[in-house]
Parts: sequence; structure tokens; C-alpha cells
Amino acid sequence: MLRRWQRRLRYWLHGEDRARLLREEMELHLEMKTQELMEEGMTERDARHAARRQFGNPTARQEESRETWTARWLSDLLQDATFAARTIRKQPGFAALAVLSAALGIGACSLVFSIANFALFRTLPVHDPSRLATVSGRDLRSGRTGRSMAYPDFADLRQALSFQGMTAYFAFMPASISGRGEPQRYWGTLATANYFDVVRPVFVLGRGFDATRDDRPGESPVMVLSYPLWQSRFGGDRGIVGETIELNGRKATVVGVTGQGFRGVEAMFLSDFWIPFSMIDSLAAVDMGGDRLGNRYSQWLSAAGRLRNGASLQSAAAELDVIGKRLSIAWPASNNDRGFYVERAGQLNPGIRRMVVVFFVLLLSVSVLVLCTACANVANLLLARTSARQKEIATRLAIGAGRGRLVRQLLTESAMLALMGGVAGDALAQAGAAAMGRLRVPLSFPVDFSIPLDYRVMIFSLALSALTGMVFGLAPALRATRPDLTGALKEDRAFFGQGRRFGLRNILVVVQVAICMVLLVCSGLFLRSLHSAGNIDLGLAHRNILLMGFDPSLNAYSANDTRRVLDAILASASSLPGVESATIASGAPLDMEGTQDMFTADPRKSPVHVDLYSVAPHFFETFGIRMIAGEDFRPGIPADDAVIVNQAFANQAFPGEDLIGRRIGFYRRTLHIAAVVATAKSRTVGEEPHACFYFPMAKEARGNDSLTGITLALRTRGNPAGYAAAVRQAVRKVDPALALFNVRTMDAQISQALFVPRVSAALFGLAGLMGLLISTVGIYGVISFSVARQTKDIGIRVALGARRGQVVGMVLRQGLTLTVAGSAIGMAAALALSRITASLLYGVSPTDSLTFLAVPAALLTIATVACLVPARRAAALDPIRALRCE
Amino acid sequence: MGKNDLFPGTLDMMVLKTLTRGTMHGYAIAQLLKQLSEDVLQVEEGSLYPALQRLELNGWIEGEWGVSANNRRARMYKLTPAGRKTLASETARYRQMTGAIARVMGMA
Repeated sequence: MLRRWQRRLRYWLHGEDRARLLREEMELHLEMKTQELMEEGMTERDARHAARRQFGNPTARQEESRETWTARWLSDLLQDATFAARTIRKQPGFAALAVLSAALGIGACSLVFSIANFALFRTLPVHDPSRLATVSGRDLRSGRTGRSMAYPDFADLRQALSFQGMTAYFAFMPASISGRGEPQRYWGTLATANYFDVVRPVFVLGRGFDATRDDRPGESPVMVLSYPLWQSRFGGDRGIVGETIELNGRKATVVGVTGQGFRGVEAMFLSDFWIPFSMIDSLAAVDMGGDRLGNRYSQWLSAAGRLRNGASLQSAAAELDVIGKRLSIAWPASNNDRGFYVERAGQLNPGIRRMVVVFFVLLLSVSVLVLCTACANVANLLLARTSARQKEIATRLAIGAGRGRLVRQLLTESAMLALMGGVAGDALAQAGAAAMGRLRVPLSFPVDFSIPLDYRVMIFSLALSALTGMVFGLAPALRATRPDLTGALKEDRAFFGQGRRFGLRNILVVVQVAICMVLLVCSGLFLRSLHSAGNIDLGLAHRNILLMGFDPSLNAYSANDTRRVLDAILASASSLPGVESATIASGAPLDMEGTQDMFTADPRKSPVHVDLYSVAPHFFETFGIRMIAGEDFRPGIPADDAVIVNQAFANQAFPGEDLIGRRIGFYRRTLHIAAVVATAKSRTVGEEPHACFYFPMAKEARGNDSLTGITLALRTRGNPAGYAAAVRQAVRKVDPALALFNVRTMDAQISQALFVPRVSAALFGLAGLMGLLISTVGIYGVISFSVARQTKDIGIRVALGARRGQVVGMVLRQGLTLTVAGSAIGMAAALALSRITASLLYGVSPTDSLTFLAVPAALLTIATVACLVPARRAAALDPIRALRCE
Repeated sequence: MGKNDLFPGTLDMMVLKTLTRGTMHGYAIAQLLKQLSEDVLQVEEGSLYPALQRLELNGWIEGEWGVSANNRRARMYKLTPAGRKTLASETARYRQMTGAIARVMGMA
């Protein structure tokens, strides 16, 4: 078979030569025949004629021979492709609409597919990823998995026979790295020294830890860098291995750099670097209280193991079950109801995974629906066009073109459109994925949303576009080449007013318009809400504030040193020229991370939720929060049992009472209220007033947690961002190894706090635009098709004296009826949904009249334009030509 | 192949059969076919050439430029082993088919 194709290809390549030789062969034949006939006594003329007659038509034979070596379908395909390209080029507007529709549908599907492909089917870039498993704790009561485990548990699990090796790690470890530029905070993994022997990623430089040495405390500290950290901080310096860099102010030697894609074995969390357990004591940030390695209650580790040959996930799970039971008998206090769970490494936790699958199935069905709608619209466009080309097609059928051949030609055209749509759609999907990768989620540790390019996605897009081309091309092609043309036209003829008003086509357009309406109304509401969120009174003066985080606990200061460092930083920051006031606090308003607790004023009433802040003096001045009564904390005066509360707390816990100097019980402490301040937004811009406690920054000052660190806030004259460099310098003077992170202005922080409304406005806006485009094409296609179908009727009307305006009006009426019907349904649906959207809106009524007026008006305008194009085409019809059309 | 004269595929089969007698050029094949069928088969002689191309493409015969009996440059065809195998199976199939047709027509 293969040989045959090789020969065919050779024949085809040498086609000209071969044809010449064949001709020579045939001529020889004719000559020999003539010779023979002449020998039998014919004249030369007669003999030549007779030879010819017996031979048949040499040209036809030549053609027939040629076909054996040039596959006919191939030349036909080329011919069709050229023809299709020509027709497409002749109608760029139509082509653009069709390609864009297909691109939107295919792009939506491909994007969803690429995310699902990444989230669900990713494999880790390690040696034999199928044998690498993660082991987590499982709560046997709730069935929840993905729990951390204690080091002694890990030491027991490590004995499991199913694994060749098992490593434990802690993946949420912040550390500041200094040397070679500004100190900066990074997130890394603390792991047992056999980590790299178990996980086995690729190394660009050097090696992993030395399992025989790096576990023991006191060994010389080492670290492994991730590829991105190596690139961004060390400029890809190939001499980095063996160099000493500073980690939290302590020296560590770089021993290796991992390959580009490897960021640890967690599905979402990215590791910048890895350090061995021997360095655990230098990491005060991971404060688990007391003996981290000996305590079974201190559950903080994840584990990963490499399966032994012959062991499966099932057999490993069974073995871990047995170990879990033994542990719960041996240590009932800590290990009761605790089991272990094993799964392929790099996978989402099964609970999340199930949710993700459901989510993607939903998303995918929505995007398939979008694709189907786009297909239907393009099919309508094609129908309108083939109806216009009816005459050409009829002529070609009449002079003997095969129907199959014509269908194939029309399909080539739609396949070409679909393919362009597929390429554009793939580009759209990639742009979408890239946009997602750039999405800055307001979390202080790095989360991976970037989706790498994947050949599977491209195959998916291409397959989808081939299918799409068939779907939207087949019906028009078959219809256009229907042999009984006149009959077909007669049967479908619909005079105005008698058309199938509830035909599938019309219903589809109405549904599209309705959905588009809902999307546009939602995006309108979100946009309005975003606008009004900018005008919400935050209770603080947000301009000209610079915020930054730092975490002295990373550098393992003693409590006294911490106090000294904080005071020094505060002093040097406030003495900077242009700084009006400076403060430090456990967190800033609206940074979305913080501690909350309950306060019970009266046991009979429900407790009040209070947000807790620890603040240094000048906090309220710096943030512009109004002092209502009482006095701020004063520098240098210890006020351990003092607390400042806000108005919301006063209103909720002690309405109408004077609170200054009042003593309140909070757990086992008695606090006296030093001041009452105005209520500022605490967690989100849209929240109801939150009660807040502001404690004086204690001696053993810590941030809210290791994520946000401690916040330094400055009120500046002029653009706050311009002060960042000066503050860095001031901090460096205090401690050169202290990393500053999350440097941002308060305004930027507020816009981060508007993340949810911003993203929803953007998403709904995009979806709305897509819907608008698709339904515009839908309206345009349906009206164009109906105009094309009614060419004759319109011709009759014009011939009988209908004015152009009347014709335009008729067509417009038809289109606008559909639009109005769809809009009405969409408005009703949007109103019905308003109860859901209400919870996401700030300062805008879910039935906002501006939105509900502007959106339909815009939609109607666009629909009118879409109808006007075919309407004017109808009005411009020459009655004589129109009547001859059939 | 002449359209109405032969069952499809029979011309190819007969060409293969003819070539079992040895290497020959197109004209000789045509002559031989005519003689053997005693002028009954009215095949357009030209249809032989597409058939030869087809057979060559399938690897059943091999064409080579040589010299004809009267010293003219001509393309000489010879049967390949694959062609021989095909001929055998085609002959068997043909026998089966004609037998069946004959039985249906009540002539067996």
C-alpha cells in the first residue's frame, strides 16, 4: 500500500515527463497499426483513419491515464480551495462575520477545554510522574482529605512497604532572601533531605539535597532554587551553584536549580526555593509551638512518596489504612479518627476536584451552546448567501455539474471559514488563558493560574472547527443544490405576514437576544456598581497613603530586638521629608486578611463580631479615620489594657452609651476603652459597618499571620508611590536583611478590594459583548435569509408600486419584532435574577433604571442597524431582475 | 476501458494473462488480445493504455524502455511476481463468477 503511494507520488512529481512518454507510446501504437493496415492493402490515408477509429480518443485516454497517478480528489480539492478562497475574498464582510462568530464559539470551548485540561489532566514535570503520590491526612469523621500531618506520623508512614521513599514538606514558608539586590520575600518549601530523591525533578544546574547529610541539624545550610527565582533574582547566572546567599539573614549555599516547569508537588501552590529540615530552626516564621518534630498534635506537614515497583495507589492506600488504624490505637488522644489518603501527585484535592469537574461540565455546556448558536447563525448567513447564488448554482447544475461535487465545493468554503474561525478561536482562547495568568488574585502568596500552551488544546480547536464547518455548512449546501429548484423555492415561499412566525430560526434569534439582554444588563449593573463603589464613603482618607509589609519574625529576632527594630523603622520612616505621619499595624483596612473574634456584651444577646487590629500610635491620623471621642495611644506610654473601638462597635454592643473610660471584659482580660473612632471599611468595600477593636501594638509584635507580616503605613505629601525607594533605604539602614513586600498605595489596595466586582464586571462585560455580537449576527442572518427568500415577493410589491420606504419598513418590522420579543424576555429574566445579583452590587439597585433603559435602547439600535443592511438591499431590488430571479 | 463492452476489471485481468507469455509492448498486447479473442471483443485499443498505467501503479507489471522487433524505441512491459499472484486470484474469482452467472442463466 505504502509502495503504491510512493509510486503515485513519484508519477505525480514526474507527471509531465510521464505524459510525454505516454503520448509517444500511443503514437507508436497508431503508427504500427497504420503500417499493418497499409500492408493489408489500404491507402495510407484510410489506414491512418482506421487506426484512429480503433484506438478511440487519444486525449481522453491520456486524461484517464493521468488520473491513475494524480489522485483526482486532490486536484479537485485544490480547485475547490482556490474557488472558495476567491468567493470569500469577494465578500469580506460576510467572511468576517462568519469567521468571528465561529471564532467566538470555538474560542469559548477551547478556553474552557484548556483550563480543564490543565486543572484535571496535568502531569508534574518529574521522573515517572505516575509513580509519585502525595499522602495527606484524612479526617475519618468528615471524610475530608488533604489534611496536614504531624512529623511523628510521617516517621511512621515512612515505614510503609508500598513506597521506595517518602518525603515530608511544608510548602507555605515565607523567607526573605537578600544579597544581590533588594531583600525580598519569597515562598518556599521546607522538606526532608530525601525530597529530591523521591520527587526527582530535572535539574538545570547542580543537584538536590544530600539525603545522607542535609537532614541533620547543624549541617552547613543549603538551598535549591526554582528556575523562575534563578532567572528573576540571579539573572540566570550559571555560577550560582556553590555561592552563598542570605536567607532570613542567615547564610545558605545554593546547591542546585530545578528545571523550568517544576514548582513543587502541590497542584496550585508555587515554590520559589527548597531548603532541608536541618534549617528548621532558622525559620521562626513557622511557629508551630514547641517541639515541631516530636509533637503528634502539631500537624503541619504534607508528604509525597514514590511507589515501589509493583505497588499501586490502591495497595498503598490499603497499607496506609492499616498504619492509620495502628496509630489511632497507639495514640488515641492525637490520632483518633485520623486516617491517611494517597493520590497521584499534582492533583487537586478530590473534594475540590469534584467541584471543578462539575464547574467545567457546566462551563463547557454553556460554551457548546454558544458554539451551536454561532453555527446556527453562520448557517443562516450561508443560507442567505446561497439563496442569492441560486441562479449560479442552478446554471452549473444544468450544465451538468455533479451535485456531490457542488456540495463539496460549498462545504470547502464553509470548512475554510470554520478553519479560519478555529485559528482565530485558538488565538482568542490563548489570549484568554494569558489574561487569566496575569490575573492578580488578592492573596499574599503566589497562586498559579497561568495555563501553559498545550498541543492537545490546538488539536481540540482544529477538530472543533472541522466539525463546526460541517455543521454550519452542510444544511445550506444540501439545500442550495436541491435538484428540484423551482419546487424547493415554491414550497418555501412565504409572503409577508405568512412566514412561519414560530419557526425554529426565529425562536433561536429570540432566545439569543434574551440571553444577550440578561448578560448586558448584568454587566451594566456591575459597571454602575463599580462606579458607585468608587464613591462609597470608606470612612478613611485613602489618598496619599503608602503601605508595605515586612516580617521581622522571618529574621528570628527576639521580642526585644523586634521592638527595637519596629521603633527604629517607624522613627526613620516618619522622619523622611514629605511624610506627614507614619504608623505600623498588624494590618491595614481592606487588606482582606485579618483576625476576627466575638465579643459578648450581654449573654442574652447575640455576640458582636469584631475585627482585631494591633496598631502603633498615629494609626488613625495616618489612615484619616476620624477620632470621635477620647485619645489615641501615645508613643512611649504603655497601655496594655487599653483598647480603641469604632462607632459600629458602640452602636452594636452598647447603643446610646458613653464608652470613654468604660471597662469591658474580653475573654479573661479587662479592657478599658480609650477612644471611639469613626467606622471605616474593614474587610470589603461593600460591607455593612464592621465592629473593630484597635489594640496597642504589643511588645511581642507580630503581624496577623506570617502571610501579611506587619504593615508599615505612611501618609505622604504628593504621590505616595514616589516614597517607596526612600522608605526602602531607611529600612535597609535599620536592617539590611529585612525584606519589604507588598509595597502598594492605599488606592491600589482599594481597587484590589474591588476584585470581585471588577472581575465580575469584566466577565459579564465580555460575555455580554460576545452575546451582542452573536445575536447581532443572528438577527442579521435571519433577516438576510428571509429577504433572500422573498426576493420575488418584494419584486412584485415594488412592481405594484410599493415605495422603497415601505419595503425597508416591512423588513425592519420583521427584525425588530424578534428583537423586542427577545428583549422583553431578557428584561424579565434579568429582573428575576436581580435578587441574586443584589448581593454583589455596591450602591446600585438591582433594578437600576438607568441600566434597564440604556441597555435595551442600545440593543435595539444595534438590531436596527443589523436589519437595515438587508432591508436596504431589499429596497434596492430591481423589480424586473427580482421577478426573473427564479 | 470501453464502457459497455467488458465487465469491469476484465481488461486488466486479460492484460496480465497476456503478459504471462513474455515481455511485450502495448501494440503487441493489443494484437494478441484481438487474436486470442478471435476479434469478438471490440475493445477500443486506446483503453489499453490507462489500464497499463493502472497495473503499473499497483506494481503488478513493470514497464521499461526497450527496442521492438522492428528496431523502434518502445516501452516493454513484463509481469512482476505480485502481478502473477494477482492474476492467479483474479482468475479464480473470474472462474467462480462466470460459473455462477452461467448457472443462473441456465447454461451450466
